[in-house]
Amino acid sequence: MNSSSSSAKALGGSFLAGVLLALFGVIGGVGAITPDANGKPANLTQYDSN
Amino acid sequence: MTGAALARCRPYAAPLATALAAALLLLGPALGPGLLLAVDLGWSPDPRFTPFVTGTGMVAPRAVPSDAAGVLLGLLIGASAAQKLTLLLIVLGCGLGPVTLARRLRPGISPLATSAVAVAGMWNPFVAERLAVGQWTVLLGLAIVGFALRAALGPQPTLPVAACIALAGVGGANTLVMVLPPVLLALLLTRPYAASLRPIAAALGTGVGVAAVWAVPALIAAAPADPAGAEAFRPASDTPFGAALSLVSGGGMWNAATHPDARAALLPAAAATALAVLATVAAWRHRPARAVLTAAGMMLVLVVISAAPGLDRAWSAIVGALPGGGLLRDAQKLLAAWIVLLAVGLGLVVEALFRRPRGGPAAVGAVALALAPLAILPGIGWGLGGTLRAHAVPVDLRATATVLSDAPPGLVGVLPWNQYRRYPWNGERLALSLAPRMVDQPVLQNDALPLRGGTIAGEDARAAAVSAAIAEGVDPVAALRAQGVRYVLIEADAGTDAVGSQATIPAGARVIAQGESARAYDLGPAPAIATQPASGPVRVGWIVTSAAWMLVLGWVLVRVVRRAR
Repeated sequence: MNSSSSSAKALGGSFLAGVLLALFGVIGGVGAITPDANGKPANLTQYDSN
Repeated sequence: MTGAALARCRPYAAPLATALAAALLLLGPALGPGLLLAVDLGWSPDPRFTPFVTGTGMVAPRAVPSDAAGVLLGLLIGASAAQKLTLLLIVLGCGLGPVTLARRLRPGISPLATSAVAVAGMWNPFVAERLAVGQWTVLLGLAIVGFALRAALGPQPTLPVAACIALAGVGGANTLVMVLPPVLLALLLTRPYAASLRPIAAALGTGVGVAAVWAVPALIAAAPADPAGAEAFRPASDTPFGAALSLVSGGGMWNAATHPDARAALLPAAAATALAVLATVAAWRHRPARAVLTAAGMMLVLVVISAAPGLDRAWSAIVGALPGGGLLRDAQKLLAAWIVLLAVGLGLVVEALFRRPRGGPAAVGAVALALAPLAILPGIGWGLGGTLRAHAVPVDLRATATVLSDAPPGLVGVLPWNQYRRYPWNGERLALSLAPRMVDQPVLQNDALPLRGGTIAGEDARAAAVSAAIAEGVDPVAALRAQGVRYVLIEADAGTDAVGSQATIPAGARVIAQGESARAYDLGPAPAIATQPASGPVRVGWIVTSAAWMLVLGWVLVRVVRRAR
């Protein structure tokens, strides 16, 4: 394996890791502020109610 | 422990520690003092082998033998400790089962990768959604399927596979139907036909044996499953990408109330789907994993068919026509092998990144990928965001159950006429009535399933008759009495707007227990009713199932002793 291909792979790996970390950061933030998409009926004694 | 044994255990230290931390983080307040009562998770604070627990007097025993196993453990260490130990071991199994499989498929796999596998096996929408409805026997199926697939891939699979199937038998019908099919497929796909016959015969024989306790009474009663169940329990999309892709990324349970909030958001759902694709590609590229991928993929296809427009009708017809077809109506549970495959696939990707030469950034990527399941579903931690919480059962409810248990034999009718409760002392979380598990008498309760879109009929003709009478305006107590009820238990704190909570107690009835949570009345000996379900079939079932367990246990002991010599 020559050094140029190694550095290219390292660069690719860094890019991938950066993208992943950024993605997960965004996911965490969005997940925290996204309202609940499912209805939550209250006072129902039904199997599929919360 | 010998040095060799220590060396064998060492590779499991990192994933075990990771899995333990993840399990504690996942269950959180569910492991606190008291009992976790959540939808289908009913657990008596006073362990009793009630007729409901043992399945006697039931048209279609639903909680056997799982509840009996819980009661047995409760008698040994206490009900609360038994529940916590059961939940903790099951969640740990969800992580460690895939780890054993990953180590079989990729010998020498790094601790980082096995830890990633453990996290992915436990921290996923399947576990969250089933935990939300307290279906611990379904989670037991997921916990066992990883070990069972590992056993199927071993050089001598017959006994290990039989042992896994015997253990799955403890969970009952749901657990068995989740474990047996993918294991049979894996056996067929990984060895020549002739060589697979023996382990397949052992798996099937064990499966039939341990199923007898619920299958014999259910088949003899031949109670038909309501075909509406297949429609109601069809997998549902929990991501913005539709049911099929929701299933691919491990979610898609029918009950929208269980769907984690983050699944509905675009980015987490996209990330989960991308991870699932990545894991599948990794499993395909790693040749030894292809058989498991094929077996798990076949189970995925089956579940997708049950949800596919047009094909779902055929699925409903099968559920309605097959004896015991009701087992298949909530098909998403059959995804268990796929969840294991996704966890193992993710581990293979992490391993590939981690092993890259001079791959510092790749190693960082591997760590990020290992933590990805946590980042995608952060809200399911700490008992699904604090919603799964253990609570103490009121003393007066326990005392009432004890009085009823000690009373002369008689059928106990339970009001309000709904099997679900919102006990104020349980945070008003939806939960099964505890009565059938607490009262050591035959119990008559409404076994129909109330859904927002309608009611799924139960199997008990007496309960159906009570429902019909109440609908016609008959007083609930009179309707129960007409079905041979001697005692009436009114769970007073279940809500005054619930059907049957405002029942009229006949003048001659005697109050035998009264408290803030519950009241019990003795209406006097009831005339014999011919429609009591027979207890003979379930007794035969228990004998066959116990014999199957004893045979497998004896077989394991003989093997262990021979190896020790």
